[in-house]
Parts: sequence; structure tokens; C-alpha cells
Amino acid sequence: MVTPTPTIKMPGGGIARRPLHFIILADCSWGMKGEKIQALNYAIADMMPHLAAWERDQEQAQVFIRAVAFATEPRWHIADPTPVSSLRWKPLQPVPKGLTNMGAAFALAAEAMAPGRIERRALRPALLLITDGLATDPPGKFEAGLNALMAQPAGRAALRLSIAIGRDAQSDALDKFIGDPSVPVLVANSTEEIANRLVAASLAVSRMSEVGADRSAVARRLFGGQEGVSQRIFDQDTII
Amino acid sequence: MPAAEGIDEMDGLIQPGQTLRMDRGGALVVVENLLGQGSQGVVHQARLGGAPFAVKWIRYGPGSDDLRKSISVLIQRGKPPHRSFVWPIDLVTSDQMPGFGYLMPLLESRFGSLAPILNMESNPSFRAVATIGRELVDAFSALHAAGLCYRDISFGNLRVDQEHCDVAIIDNDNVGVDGDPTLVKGTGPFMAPEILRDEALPSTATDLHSLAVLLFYLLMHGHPLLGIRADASYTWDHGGHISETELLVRNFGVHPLFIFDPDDRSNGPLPGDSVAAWWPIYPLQVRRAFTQAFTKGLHDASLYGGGRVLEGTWKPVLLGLHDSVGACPACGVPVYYDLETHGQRCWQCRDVMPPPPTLKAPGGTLVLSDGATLTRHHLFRDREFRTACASVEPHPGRPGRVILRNLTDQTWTVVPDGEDPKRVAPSQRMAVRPMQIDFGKVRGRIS
Repeated sequence: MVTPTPTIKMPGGGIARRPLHFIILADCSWGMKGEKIQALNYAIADMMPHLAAWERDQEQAQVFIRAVAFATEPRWHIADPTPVSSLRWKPLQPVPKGLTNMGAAFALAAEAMAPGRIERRALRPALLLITDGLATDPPGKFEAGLNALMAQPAGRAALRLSIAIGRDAQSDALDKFIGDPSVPVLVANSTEEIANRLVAASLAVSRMSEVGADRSAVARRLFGGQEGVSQRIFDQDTII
Repeated sequence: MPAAEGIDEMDGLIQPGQTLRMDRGGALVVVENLLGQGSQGVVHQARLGGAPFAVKWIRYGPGSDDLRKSISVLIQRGKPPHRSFVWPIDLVTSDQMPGFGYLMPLLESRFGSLAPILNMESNPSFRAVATIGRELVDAFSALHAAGLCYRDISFGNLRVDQEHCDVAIIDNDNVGVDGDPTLVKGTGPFMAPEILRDEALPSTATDLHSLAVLLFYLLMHGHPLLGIRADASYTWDHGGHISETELLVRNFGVHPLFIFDPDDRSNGPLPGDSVAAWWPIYPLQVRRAFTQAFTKGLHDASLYGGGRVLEGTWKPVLLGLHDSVGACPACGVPVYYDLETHGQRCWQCRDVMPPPPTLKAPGGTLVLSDGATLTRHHLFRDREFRTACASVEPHPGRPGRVILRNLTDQTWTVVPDGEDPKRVAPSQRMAVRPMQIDFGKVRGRIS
């Protein structure tokens, strides 16, 4: 056990780390009420120490968290980039009669990707969409929101992952959001699995953000698709 | 690395409770809890014959056969003669799934990541940092002397016990014979320019570049090639993000320029970057070694004749650094005394510091400051850095002065300038002042 020593003044500070912005897009539609939103809140709170532990163990990146809560309308749940080590998660609440309009959420996230909002030296940001249902966007709105996100270079470059709560939640919309056929939607078949999927997603983000990481190779290893892996794995929706 | 429980079963990886069989002799190994995972596989605690070990299981896939062969070679070879290496002991296989793993010693829990030191969350002393640097150099030197190269030096593969200043080199999967072909290329910021330009494969020479970058990070808290010119290439504008690989190749491969290049300051440190505060506090001999590594050493990868800085150069540099630690007499902050410089100023209070008392012995020149230790190596040049022959302590009666305590079992004969010869018995202390010291078999001089 190391005995703590009094802080001695030092000539300079530590290594300058590159920001890794992690933005959660959380479905707060009425369908999430009860067990699902509680499971989601728990899962997010559970994921943070894993990310914080990863951050502590490496010297290149510093993780900042933001969150959008969306239902019929989106709003910033955590608007300012908050260091993961000091984040205290405020529980999300479902919106009475709230729908699942994803496009507007994407457009709001796009604002955070605008020029000057993400530091020049930041690693590619990560967007994590968590939803329990299909998109209810009015015609054209989903695409408009996604386009707004893609119109920003930081949005286009961002790593986009999605967790579907319940098999029914899978959809073309989520695949479109991810935009990478080698990265499948992570499915949480039960509320218990949500925490698991979130941790896996956060680990994936951290590894894919490592400087020099071969993103598709990491995606393949984390999400499956490698030759020689048993067939059983391809039958699963999620492969971690 | 954080462990995520319960998801291994979907990936053909080992599980707690499973047994694996050792290749040689067929002994059974019982898999226990997950310790960590990486892109290549997972590491679990394991039990063999009642004793704790670790086992790494490699994800089965393309390349695993080659990896199995190269790890067999390492097992046959045995580990280099340095205690820091966590080396494969034997291959293991499972009856239940394809693929392989290997058994290795379990890393003691006293070891942790170096990140807290680099991020300044923990604050090891100046002496500790110099010792950690020297231990790293010693370990890689043993590897290179055995004709092997590491190929992927980075902080992810190193662990440190900050209390005892011991280092561990984990993940020796990628070690191979210097000059052999390999699929492994290295980790971004540590990769030698010629590797980034795709002109060479990892070798001992490229390891030496990585080692220099590692030491620069450890001492200077920054990357030697990441200055304002390199920084200017990071942008989200102009239609897109330049890939990390492209940035690395451009800034560290094609146009690498040392942030303290004496002839070209166009890639100077970024305003506010810690490196600018750390660099000047180091003695000239340290800065010279880094300057060579990141000027001539960038372009001349040869081991022979002045290109890359060899471990044989780093060792005396880091020993000398350790020996130069003292404290400012005016404000008390830790300093590295630069014995080549007159009129050195304290980095904190800017007072000119008078030259400290030093002990010149066959194995080096030691600044006699509170906390300094004269080791066997100082006297006998036998690399026994942890065996103390004398310790420096505050003079109980004279604030600001120090004494030297005899920790050997020999009586010293000392001749202080202008005084009669005196004897200092084992455990006795003597006030430090200019003198000749006869330690028995060797002599030294305090100035």
C-alpha cells in the first residue's frame, strides 16, 4: 500500500490528452416507462465506472459525456461535456405520451458537432443511440435529422452505435444511423441485458478510438464476423 | 483494462471453471476469473497445481496459427535475463473449443498502469521517475542483447509498482528475433518514422525509437514530435476529418520534427503544453540524448554510428539523472542539479543555486542531498543499484547541511581538507565537507 505523501510542487502538469466525446441519445418515449427506463438509468450509471477505469489506465484520451433525452421532442439532458470521472448521472424520466422521434434528436446532436464545438485535436466522437421502439418520425424528418448530423464533418466521422431494447426495436432506421454494415445493432433482449450491452458498447468505443486502431478489425473482433468463429455466433443478434 | 463479465461465451473464449491442458506434460490448468481483455484475446487468472498463474487465450482466427508458432519459439527460448518480463511458460489447449492459449506468471497486484504518472494523478519523486526510466531501459536492453526485439513498445504493455520502482513488461506475444518478418507494426505515437512510411518492419532499431518516445513521455509529459506544426494538421474543417493513420504518417513519419530541434523551431511546443515547463529543468546531458534521438535518430535508424540512441547511452544518462536529484536551498522544491552548468537557477523561485556537495566515486558522481543513497554500483560498478553503502541525511545540528551515514561493514578512513585523517565506523555518521574518502577497496572524493 503506498502511503500518501504531501503534494510537492511540480514544474509542470501531465500529458495533454485528446478529448473523446461520448454522446448518449436516450429514448424517453412513453413506451420506456417503468422497468425499461429504470434499467436504462441503472445501465448508464453502471457503464460510467468502466469508461472511467479505461480512461485511468491509458494516457492518450480523456472522456467527456453528454446526453440527449428524446421523445416527441429532444432536449439536452447533459449539455456540457462532462469528464466521465466526475459525472453524476441524473436519472432520465419518460415523457407522458411521448413518441420516438429520432430525426430531431440527431439534429440536436448535430449542433454539438458544429465547427468549433469539437476540439481540433479531439478523437472521433461517439454517438450511442438507445431505444426500445421504431422511429415515429413524420415523413422525411428522420432523414433530415440524419443528414444534419452527416453534414458536420465531426458527425460524419463519429462512431455511431445503437442499442435496441427488445428484438422488436431493431430496424432499418438503426442500421442507417450506424451506417456501417460491419457493426450490427446491439440488442438487449431483456432489461438485465441493457447494462451488459452498454458496457460492451463503451469498451468498443474506447478501443476504436485508440490511436492507430484498425476500426473494422476491432469491430469485427468485438461484434463478430470473423472466419473460423463458430456458426452459433452468427445466429445471435449481438456478438461481443 | 476493465473486465466485462458474462459476454465471453458468445465469442469462443474460455470461461471460469474450464480446464485447459498444458502442451508439455499435459498438466491441467483450471481457468478462474477474467483479469482483462484486449483485441487479441482474454487474460484470466488460473490455477496449476494449487498455485496461481495467468492464462491468455487467443481469439481464434486468421493469424492465430502463426502466433502459436512464434509463441512456441519464445517458450523454447526462455525469458531474457531480466525479472521484468512476464514471459509465456507453456501453450495450453482446450478439449471444448479450437484455438490455444498460454500460461504465464500472474502479475502481482502491486503493479499498475503508468497512466497515473503521465497524467500527474500520482506524483512519484524525481528519484522514482529516474529509477523507473532506468529499469525500463535495463529491461529492453536485456531483450535486445539477446537478439530479440519487442516490436510494440507502448504504455499499454508496461506496468509499474510506484512504491518500489519496479517495472513489468507484459504482453510479450509480439517479441521476435530482430530482423524477422512480422505482422505487428506497433502503436501509433511510438512507431518509428520508417515504419510509418512503410519502409521498414519493427526491429531493435525501431524499438529504440519507441523507447526514446517512452522516456520522453515519462520525463517531459508530452510527445516529442507533437508541436504547433503537427497540431495544425488536426482539423474538422474542409469536408472532413483526416484519419488518425494519415495524421500519424504525416506528422511522425514523413515530416517528423522535434519540438526542441535546435536548428528548426517551427514545430515548437504548443502554448500551455506541459513539455515546455518540464524540458528546461533537466540537466544538459539528458536533453542532449533526447535531441540526438529526435534529430539525427529520426532519419538515421542505424544502431552503429550515431543514429538511434542505444541503451548503453540511456543507462548512464538515467543513472546520472538519479544521482543529480536535490532540493533548492532557498525554497525546497525538488531539482535536478546540472553539474555542467554554472549559475543554475531554481525552476520555482528562480534563485541561483550554489553548487551542491558531490561525491565522485568510480561508478558516478552523486549529489549529496537529503535522501540520496550511495550504492554498491557507485563504488564497485557492479549494477547493484539497490544495495546501499551510505545514506545522506539532514545534519541534526546544522540546518541546511547533511551527513553521510556508513551503511557498510567496513570502517572508512576520511581525510577532510585541512583536517587530520579520521575513521568512520559502520553505522557512524560524518558531516559532509570536502574530503578524500577511503571506503576500503575504493576511494572517492567529496567536493
